[in-house]
Amino acid sequence: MKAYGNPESLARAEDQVLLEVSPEGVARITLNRPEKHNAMTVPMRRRLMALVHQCEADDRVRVIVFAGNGKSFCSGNEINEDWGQRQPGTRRMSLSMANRYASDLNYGRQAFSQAITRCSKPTVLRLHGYCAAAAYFMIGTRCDLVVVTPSSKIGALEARFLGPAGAVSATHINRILGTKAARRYGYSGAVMTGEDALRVGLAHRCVPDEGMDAEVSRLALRLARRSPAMTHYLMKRVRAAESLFETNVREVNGMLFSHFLQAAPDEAHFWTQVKASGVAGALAADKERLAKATGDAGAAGSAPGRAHMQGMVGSP
Amino acid sequence: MIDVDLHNLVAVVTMGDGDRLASADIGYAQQLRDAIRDSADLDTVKAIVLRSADPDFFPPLSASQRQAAQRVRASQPRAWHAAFCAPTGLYQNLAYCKKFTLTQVAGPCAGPGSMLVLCTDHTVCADDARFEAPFADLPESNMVLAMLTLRLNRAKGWVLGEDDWDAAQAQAAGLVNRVTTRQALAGAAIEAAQAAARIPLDGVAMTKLLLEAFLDTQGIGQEFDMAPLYADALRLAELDDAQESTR
Repeated sequence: MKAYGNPESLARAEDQVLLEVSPEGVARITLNRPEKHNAMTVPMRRRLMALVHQCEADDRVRVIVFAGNGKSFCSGNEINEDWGQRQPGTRRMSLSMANRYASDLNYGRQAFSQAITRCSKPTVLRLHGYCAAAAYFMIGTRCDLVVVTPSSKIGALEARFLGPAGAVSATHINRILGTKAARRYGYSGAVMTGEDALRVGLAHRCVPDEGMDAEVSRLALRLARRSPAMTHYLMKRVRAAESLFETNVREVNGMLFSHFLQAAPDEAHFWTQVKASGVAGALAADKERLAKATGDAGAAGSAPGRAHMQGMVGSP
Repeated sequence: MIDVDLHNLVAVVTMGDGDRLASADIGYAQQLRDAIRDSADLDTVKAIVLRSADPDFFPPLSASQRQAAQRVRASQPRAWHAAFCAPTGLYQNLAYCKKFTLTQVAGPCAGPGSMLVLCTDHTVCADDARFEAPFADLPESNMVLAMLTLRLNRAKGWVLGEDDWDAAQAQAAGLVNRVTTRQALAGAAIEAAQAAARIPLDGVAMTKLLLEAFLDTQGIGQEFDMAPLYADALRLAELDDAQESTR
């Protein structure tokens, strides 16, 4: 699979997603980008997936704990990121690239959210602060046992500004919260507190902030100390039942389309141009930008339909 | 010993020696299945209450009961399957019963007891009831049914979490409909059964027909079909554990 990212994000990913394995067999995968509330870059997601696979293959690992450094578990995907999603000179990510993004990096059978839901070892989430957007979709609602505090802030909060409310139709979220709660939180982009999460069935435990580490350790150690054969049996049963229950159905909706709809910086510029010089002027400027980006001097010269557009739209 | 009392459109099925189910006693499972099926076949019955003759509904399984059940599954796999988890078996006859079903639970509820609770429409329990997940003991237990009843993460918490649930937790999670005192339990169970029995007979039949289709679309039947595979997997896990403990 192609390694997407930019030179900086690729270079930093190893330090931004950390793995420790305790002598008791508790693997702890920690997001470590606290200055950005652990927003996940594309290389971070790829590294996270690789670490889940590494834990899966490591017989010492009995249970996997996900955690985040700093004020929040994770604010979601890094949306202000150039990871190679657009060809030079194009305004939007192509549908083909969006499909690769959704399939390989997020929701497909080989992507990291399904690496968690198909993991044969139990997973525990230490959820403090924000667990928003993609973090909610791809980790928060995928881990087996979720520990929260009353101050946790959870949900598809991006629905407020990013377009479609994928959390409304996601199968696994409906299975966890129930359909009414999934729709209420999904449509509104409302914050779910830790207490709400316990009430609607997302969280297994809600403990005070100061008790979080002790509770996560207690749960993880208890799982780690169980008979490995029995844990393996129970996890096989859980995963088989989840599969019959169709919770791993690929969620094409939210992430794919919301990213597809995102305005890139030059698209925002296009609409600024429209205000200044009308659609025709903006199209002309766009052609010039395209010509510069692609080195095609001829592209700027003829703009099909330009006169027609001018006639239709007129002056600003 | 299984007693069936018919009274005012309600059949009360009382299990004596219910712990025989914990040892995967095929004959006992067949008797209980027949009691449920025969009651459901009567037009004079609209609701079936399932309860234990013992003060406690179903105590946690002992090591000897687990071993006995494992021997039955290994030595008579087809008979075990037919008696417990096939469409002809106890649990599917209860989950897909043609009449309204109710479990009356006091004290501990584990193994087959928890499976009976999952398979019934309604559960009334005493405030001292405790519910243990049945999946480590019973390969025929239906995890999809638990996920449907409790929702996904609560079911996973019940399976992987550390404790059994008390009556209040079970009610909050959706496993139990009503909690009362031990003294009021039998009366509350009959009251709930009689409330359901006010539905016209054809209404009960239609409701259960529709429910059967719904359960099948949710994967409940497929999960029952997987039980022989789960039985093999559990046997291997228990063998691994036994080998580990002798090292």
